Amino acid sequence: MKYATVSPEDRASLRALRKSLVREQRRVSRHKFFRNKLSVVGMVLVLLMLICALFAPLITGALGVDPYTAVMQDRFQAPSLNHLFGTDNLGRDIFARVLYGAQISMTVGFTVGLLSALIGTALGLYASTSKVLDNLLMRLCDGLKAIPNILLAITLMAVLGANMKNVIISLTVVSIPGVARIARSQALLAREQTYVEAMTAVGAGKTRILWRHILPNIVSPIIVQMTFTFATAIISEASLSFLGAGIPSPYPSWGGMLNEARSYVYMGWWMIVFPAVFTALSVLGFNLFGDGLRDLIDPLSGR
Amino acid sequence: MSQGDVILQAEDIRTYFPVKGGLGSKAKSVKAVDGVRLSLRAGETYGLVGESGCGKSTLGRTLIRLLEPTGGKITLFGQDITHLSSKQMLPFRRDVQMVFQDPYTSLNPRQRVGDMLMEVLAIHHMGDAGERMAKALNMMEQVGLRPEHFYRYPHEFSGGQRQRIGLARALILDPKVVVCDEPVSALDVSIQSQIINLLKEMQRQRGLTYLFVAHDMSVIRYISDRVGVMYLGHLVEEGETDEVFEHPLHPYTKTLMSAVPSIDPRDQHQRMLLEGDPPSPIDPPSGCVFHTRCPYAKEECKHAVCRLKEVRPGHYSACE
Repeated sequence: MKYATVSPEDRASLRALRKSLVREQRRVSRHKFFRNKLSVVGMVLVLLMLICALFAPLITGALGVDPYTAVMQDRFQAPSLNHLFGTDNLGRDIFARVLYGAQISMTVGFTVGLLSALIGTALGLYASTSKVLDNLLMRLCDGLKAIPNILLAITLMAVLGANMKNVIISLTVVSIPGVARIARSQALLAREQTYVEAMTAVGAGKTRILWRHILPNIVSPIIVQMTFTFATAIISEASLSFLGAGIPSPYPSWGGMLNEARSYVYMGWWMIVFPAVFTALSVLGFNLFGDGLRDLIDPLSGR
Repeated sequence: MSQGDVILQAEDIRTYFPVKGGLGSKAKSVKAVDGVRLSLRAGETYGLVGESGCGKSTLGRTLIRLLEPTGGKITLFGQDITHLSSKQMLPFRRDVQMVFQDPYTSLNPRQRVGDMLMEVLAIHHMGDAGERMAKALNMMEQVGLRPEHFYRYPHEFSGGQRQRIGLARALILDPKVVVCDEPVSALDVSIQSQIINLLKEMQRQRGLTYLFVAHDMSVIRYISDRVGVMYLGHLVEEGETDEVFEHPLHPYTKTLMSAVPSIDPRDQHQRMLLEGDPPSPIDPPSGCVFHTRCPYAKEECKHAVCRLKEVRPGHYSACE
């Protein structure tokens, strides 16, 4: 069969139209997001943490401090111009350690968030395709959920050994069930919509419907869940390190720093305050940002 | 294929849905469609009426193999398509299409209109990107949409426009048969006539055959050439539209007709009211399925199996 085709001019004008539509839709979304002050605060906090993490070597280099160098005569120095956040029990600069700690927290948060979202979505999507698979996968998730997250993570760490890669693996395992459940329930909802039947009627296969029609309709709640997973992963990593089952010293994880500071609370408050504040702010930032995204995606929640 | 030839034929179609039995009870099934024989002739509009839950939509979906029939045989252009796999069904999908009832859920909210139309062509490997775009634009124009709608999302359209998009999706493959599943019942009355006239216009231009499912008698009378009346999964009467409307034979059809309001004040028509609800399609009554509510029911109706009989030329009824 032969068809007429679209002239290059018509194509160009349609493409321009599409561009302007996309620009308009982006503008509306931006406007909606920025109208919510709290989500802007969240975004700023997240950006701040990212800058800390990305430019940690540059900033500490400029100040002439290093997270690993222990200077014995400088132990327990209060915050000063030389040591912005003071020094710890081994005379290491806490400011430098907090910035490098941001590197660890952000890496763990993003990797765990992305990995669990990808794997969880795939599991949820396939669970929605067949009853047998659904039962199998969801009972597996129930099993994982039955054990408190941090206990499960500690167990995994004990088996795998304490290092950054294993922290990421165990936290991902712990986070997958949450994403998988959301993906599954959303996919089951989407599957019931008539457009799925309509695509079957025009001849679309199961795989095409799953990935091109159901997936795009469940992506938004998963992205929102991902921002919350970031926050949870940051806290969990800090908890693991605090308990000594996470990133081993001398790497400056926030949780590990809190653990070391525990014994010296009365000798130097700064040892415990700065890593704690950074942990709290980054978790707060991701949560506020996630709330903002959710309101953007689901106009029914919030105002 | 000349006018009047049988395009799609269904024999003794049964579509059952399993329902979970309670503890200790046997697994049962909802007999949504229970032994229907029906044929569509080229170029005609076959109206299917009946109350909610009588199985008319299920029948429509079964005929185009959106649902797997439990029994019976469906032939399209003389070829048996009853048990084709979805892959084998693909070439036939071009010939039989469907317009859905709800214009709000029948379009993927995350897909632009033009992309959707082009995807339909891509599924059938028709043309290259430029040709698909041209055909999609052409199709949109035919159903009354403008080129600037090409990159819009479904939520930016009104109900009537969405139904036009749904029609464009069904017609872009140049089908021969279109099942219209209550295509106007979700729309405002003012929009209904626009869509119905668009459907008629498309039929005139393309020689389409429609299976038009509806429960609005006036819409059916306006658009159909032949009518089939369904009750509880059975076809109880079938014939030319005017014939069935003027001389209904089956008691159920008579009650349906008497429910149509008349605007003529001199028309003192007797309203026949049915008592009770239709029986459950899980345990349909024995004999004539209508005997539980039929005003003329006799003892023998409880046992006698009623089949469609040609009572007048071209006018079939399961009861006289």
